[in-house]
Amino acid sequence: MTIRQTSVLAYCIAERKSRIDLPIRGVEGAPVRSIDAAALCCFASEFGTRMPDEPVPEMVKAFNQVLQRIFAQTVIIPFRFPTIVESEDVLRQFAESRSGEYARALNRLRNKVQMDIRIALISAGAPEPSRRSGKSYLEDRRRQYQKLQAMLTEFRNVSGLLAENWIQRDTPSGIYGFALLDRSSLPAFLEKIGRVLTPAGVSARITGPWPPSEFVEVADE
Amino acid sequence: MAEHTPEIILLGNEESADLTLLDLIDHVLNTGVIIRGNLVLSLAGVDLVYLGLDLIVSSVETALRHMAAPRSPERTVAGRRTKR
Repeated sequence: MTIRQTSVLAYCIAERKSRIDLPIRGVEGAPVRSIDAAALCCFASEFGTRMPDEPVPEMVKAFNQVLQRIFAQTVIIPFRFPTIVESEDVLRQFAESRSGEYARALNRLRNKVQMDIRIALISAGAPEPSRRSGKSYLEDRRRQYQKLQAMLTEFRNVSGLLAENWIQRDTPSGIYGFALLDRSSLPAFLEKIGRVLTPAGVSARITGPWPPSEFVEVADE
Repeated sequence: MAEHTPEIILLGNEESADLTLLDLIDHVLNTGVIIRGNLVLSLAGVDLVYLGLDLIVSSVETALRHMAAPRSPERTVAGRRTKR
């Protein structure tokens, strides 16, 4: 039996194009390599099949640094962390099998970035749940949701046509808005949304530019 | 508290130091391509461990524990748990 000591950690998929300036090291300090697969290229590094030396948060940070370095040069579709495959050949076969749809998605998202807007209520001593009726609780929840929704609508309105598309995701902790925009529109977008006033009791946190993962539309296997 | 402007954190700038682990985890663990299928890992000197890849992405800690454990009490084949 062949004993395999390492497998491959996949970072992202990009269009196969002119030379990408790769980060020297990725997760666990392993060299990052590009793997050509039809019209695409995948980025990966070796990953040991033993307990990693790095704590998981450090691995997440290193993974993100690789993504950001490549994303600064070309649009990417990230793999979910940690996607670990047996070998580079397995990764290549996967990318080749989905080459058409990923190439179309990358072409559509070329020069695009994603900005995330996380809107939440700042908790300020909510009344004891046990003292409230179910109806009152639900009404409170509805009012809170409407407050958050109004905030996201305000961000959407002020950014106007700068954002080409929006996706909203409701979570127990608040509302996430994802804006898709051209990289060249980023300064104007930030200037506009940076002037929006958030009402007392509501927090709005904007991060990015991220790879436009929320806007990748490919069929599930 | 009065009205206030939103907190903006740009990646690649000095401000990105303010990016929380929560922000990162939200991105790298919750979004991205998933390869579905079987992964075959061979751990030094012991038998093969089969893991459904979508199980790995759902739990880093579990995946790492599986990788670290020379003999796991159970193994997972394509996402289905099977007792030894």
